[in-house]
Amino acid sequence: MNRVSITHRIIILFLGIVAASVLPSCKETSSGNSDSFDRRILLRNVAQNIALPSFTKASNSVERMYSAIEALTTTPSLSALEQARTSWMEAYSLWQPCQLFNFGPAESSTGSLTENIGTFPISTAKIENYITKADTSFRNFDRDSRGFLCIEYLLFSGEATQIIAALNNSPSRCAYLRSVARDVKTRLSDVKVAWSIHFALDFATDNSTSTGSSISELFNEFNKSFENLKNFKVALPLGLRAGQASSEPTKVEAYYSNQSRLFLELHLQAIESVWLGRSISNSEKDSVGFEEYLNAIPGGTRLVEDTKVQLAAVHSAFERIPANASLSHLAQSNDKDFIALHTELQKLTRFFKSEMSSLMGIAITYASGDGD
Amino acid sequence: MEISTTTIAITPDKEKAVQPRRFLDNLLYHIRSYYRQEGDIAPLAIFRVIFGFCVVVSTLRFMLLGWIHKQYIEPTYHFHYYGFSWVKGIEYLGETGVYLLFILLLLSALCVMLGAFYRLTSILMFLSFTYIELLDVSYYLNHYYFVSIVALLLTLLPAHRAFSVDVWRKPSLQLERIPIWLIDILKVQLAIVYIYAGVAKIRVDWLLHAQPLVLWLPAHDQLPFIGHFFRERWVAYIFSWTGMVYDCTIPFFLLWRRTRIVAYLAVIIFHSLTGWMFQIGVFPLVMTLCTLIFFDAASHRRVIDKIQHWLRKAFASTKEQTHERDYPSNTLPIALTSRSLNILAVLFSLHIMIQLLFPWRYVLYKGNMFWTEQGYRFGWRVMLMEKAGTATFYVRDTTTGREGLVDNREFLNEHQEKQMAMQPDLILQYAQHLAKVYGQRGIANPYIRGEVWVTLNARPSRLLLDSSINLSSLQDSWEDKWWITPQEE
Repeated sequence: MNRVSITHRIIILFLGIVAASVLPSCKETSSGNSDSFDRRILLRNVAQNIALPSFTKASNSVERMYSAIEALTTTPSLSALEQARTSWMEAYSLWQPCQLFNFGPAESSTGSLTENIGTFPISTAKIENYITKADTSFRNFDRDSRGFLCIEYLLFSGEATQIIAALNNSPSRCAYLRSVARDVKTRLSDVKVAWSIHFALDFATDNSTSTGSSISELFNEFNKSFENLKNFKVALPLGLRAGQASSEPTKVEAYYSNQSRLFLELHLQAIESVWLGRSISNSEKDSVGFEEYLNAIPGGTRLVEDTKVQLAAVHSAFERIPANASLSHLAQSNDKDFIALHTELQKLTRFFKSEMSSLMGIAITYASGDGD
Repeated sequence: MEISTTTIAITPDKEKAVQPRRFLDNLLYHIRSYYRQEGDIAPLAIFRVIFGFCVVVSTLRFMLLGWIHKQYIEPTYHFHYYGFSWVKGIEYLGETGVYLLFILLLLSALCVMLGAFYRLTSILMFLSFTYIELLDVSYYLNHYYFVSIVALLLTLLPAHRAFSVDVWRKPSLQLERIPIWLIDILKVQLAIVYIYAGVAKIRVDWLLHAQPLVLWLPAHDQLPFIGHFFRERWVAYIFSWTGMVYDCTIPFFLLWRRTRIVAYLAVIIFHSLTGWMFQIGVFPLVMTLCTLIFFDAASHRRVIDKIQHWLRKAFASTKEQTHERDYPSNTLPIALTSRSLNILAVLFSLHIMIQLLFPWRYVLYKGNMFWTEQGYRFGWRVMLMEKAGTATFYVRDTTTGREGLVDNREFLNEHQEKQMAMQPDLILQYAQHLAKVYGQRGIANPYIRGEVWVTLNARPSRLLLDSSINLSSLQDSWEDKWWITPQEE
């Protein structure tokens, strides 16, 4: 090597830098209007019209639920119980869409929000044990001893009069119920505050597709939530999971209030809302979601069609379950319509899980390793 | 020969018989003279430093990202390489043992880099790295395979006999010149990696449909400067064709002195760009640094001289005497014996033969290799396809007839599940694991079937295998996997 080759090197380096900086700006002037997809529009829509209103509504409703439970535990009465039950129903309904956003502020050192306040089936034995011990510290990993469904158990299991009597007889039961409600309230409110102060904006402005980016978090949790719905809210009570010897009707979501069908419906709607980009408060308002993203990608329209067909099949399977039906009873009788719903959900899985990520190019971004 | 041409008329037949022999003689002559050709050891010594450095960086990165825990401690199940089910991590070594294994790798790589106790540490580096890679096939990456191969070659090369702690300790080890094929073997290995990666790109999906880059590039449209280009379809075509041409030709341009600088610039740009865009870890660093070996010996020597000059200056006050001469004049270098060189030559020839042939084993199998993945690994097929699957397994109790579906998250982490869901041999392993687990959970003679939907390069999902057969009754082997559904076009 000599002086000449060093000059060569410098010239080449220079040309490279020139090319890298000039070419993009040339492009800008020649054809600026490539009809590409801006992920930030999707993210903004999901944040503003789905996530943020969901957390706000759920959190406000949980505040009301907490007040009702406070009233009930101070002076247990039938009317106070009725009030608490109604407020729980409302709060748990409004919680359903929040499950899809189990990332970002919803992740904490003590586990995710859904794990902490939405675990089911709960363990009545553990709950009763903690009540007996008057332990409301929650310094344990028994997440099946707290959360929404623990409150449900304490409010709905048994006759109203029995529940009032139990509360009257046991200050520790009242304290536990109140503590669980407070825990749910605090955890949900923390996440709501984080979303409204900064996270909605952070989330909507992160345009990258790497590990931990908004779009990959949204996609991953969307899928996890869908699988939770299929595996736990449907397959588990029906006894369709490997190793189950029969159906397990008590393992439906919200067994004690017997409103599993409603909650399942709301959860399903929320999943659909994110896919469509549909507003959570106004179902007429369908904006940018995964559907639009896919439509902007080569091969995406075919997947959108396939997904819509299958979503319709899931809908009609769901509609065949009578509106007032108890999923627990249906599971007990191995109801063929309930099983059919599972089959249709199963068919939807591959569209969500592998085909969507493959087309969007975000499959190669996983947290646990490199690709090649 | 002289006589024959003047005195005896040669019939055409005889001439034909002589011609090939002359060619063979010529060839042997060239081989022999190449075999005896010597050159400066400097490129090999620098390569040792660079390669050790790459392994150190890669290992440190792995540790700092918490991947030891995530990949080797947390999972309850590991996918083994065919024939290597005896390689086990946490079951044999315990959690501390797994961490110690990584520390062993780190220290041995550090020693290789410095050229300290090289004979031992190069072997330790190869063994510990390869053992770790063999722990779980779902983490297989071509560049890990490359690192294993090069580490193996290094155990056989005298890379510590210049510019090393060993020479500093024992000056008689120092060699100035070595047979150049001891350096060229590494160039050949690198050339195989590139050319095979390039040849693998010569296919319809890659060149005519720009798949999978047409899917991957738009996902990076937020990158500064070049991002908005990636939304354009034609850019994916340019990248596909450039990538193919680059891989196929870069070794030659690196070999040729006149194009070397430009070629190396291309190496830097190519690997920086892919490293920036895709999550491929240390691969770009490894390739960019390893290809430095293509530069001539004089440049390597200059680098060594410069560094040694700095070192001398830095330690001038204390160690001036020992560093004055590379070795005392009364100790002659320990030469490489011709016997050991002959053995090495045979081993390396064998190695190259295997390297050239093994990636072609896929032609012995039926069907599209990208779909069946029979003969896919160890073939330098890098970033060639977008493939993903959704695999659902059903466990049937053959006595009661009751069937239930498996939640894969119970047994596998995200990465393992993702890899398993599209690779038939892993599906088989997993099914057998499920049979074992559910057998222990009280299901006698479990019948395991899998419904595996796979999408390849944006095609609609298709079933990868017959979803009615009992996967736990099958055995993995070199034989054709008849139970894979042929890919529909």
